[in-house]
Amino acid sequence: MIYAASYRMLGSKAAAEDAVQETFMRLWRHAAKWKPQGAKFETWLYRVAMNICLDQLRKTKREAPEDAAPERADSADRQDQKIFAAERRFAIDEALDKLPERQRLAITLCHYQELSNIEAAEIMEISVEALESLLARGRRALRQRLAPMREHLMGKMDDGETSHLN
Amino acid sequence: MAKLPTLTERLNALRDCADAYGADIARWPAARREAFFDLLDTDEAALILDEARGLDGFLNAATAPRMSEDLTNRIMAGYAAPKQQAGLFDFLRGLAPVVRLAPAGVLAGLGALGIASGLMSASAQDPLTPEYEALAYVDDLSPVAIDEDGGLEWDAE
Repeated sequence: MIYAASYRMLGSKAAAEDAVQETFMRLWRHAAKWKPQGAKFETWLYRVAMNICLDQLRKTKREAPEDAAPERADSADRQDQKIFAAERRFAIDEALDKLPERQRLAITLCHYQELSNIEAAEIMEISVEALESLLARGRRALRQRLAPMREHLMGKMDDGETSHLN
Repeated sequence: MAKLPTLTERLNALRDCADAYGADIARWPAARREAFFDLLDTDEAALILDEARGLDGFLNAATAPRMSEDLTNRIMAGYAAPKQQAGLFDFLRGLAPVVRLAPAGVLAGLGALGIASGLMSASAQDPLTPEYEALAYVDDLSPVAIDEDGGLEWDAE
């Protein structure tokens, strides 16, 4: 879960691995001294990991999302589905990439890591109201950025997931 | 007396909530769920939730890779074999929810590095906590089982 959150923030497997390794190095250093008072352990660990990710982002520009759409090799249905799935993944990765860091972090913690608003706000050291504002602004921006993709993706989708993405 | 919000104001508040938390009302804060309960069956609310569901679908399609075994090994290699020391059991109890979704290799690594023995000896003094119990339900946790006495058994494979 720390790795997945780091990957969402950094957009690169290698960078996420570095962040996780650094997180656990800090964890091991503090393990014996850690007491279950104040912040929950999980909150503390997320906070460490996400701060490392934010530091990395400030030092280096976020890398282009991996798993870009594969080149079309043939017209088989299965290959089309793979390409479509990769295109969709790439589109959302790219849209997430363009969000301000703290909006991306709020969405990563609440949507992907399924943490409560209180836990996410604690990790980010902000109020729940501020977290909600980041989430709402982030999701609205994503919807706006993904809107141009709608027709392209709608043409290929079977399940109608994007029918209201506007 | 405070003025009651109009339907439009309530729908706007519902939209703000869906914009923040998505279409799955089970993931909304409980107070919000209750506040909007009577609105959820309306056409206006259905439209708002459908919009949010569209974005949820996109977000859910962007899956993250799993942590590699190599990274797990590197992380565990960074852990200096712990001695029985004050605070370690509390630390591990806190760790349980975090490792619950981690690859089995992390837990196998914990065992390989001697943390499991710390857990087992601690379990002789402490009641079996939900967090501790959760260790037995880690995804693909084939190397670990709870024995009859409530200790963790590690299968060396």
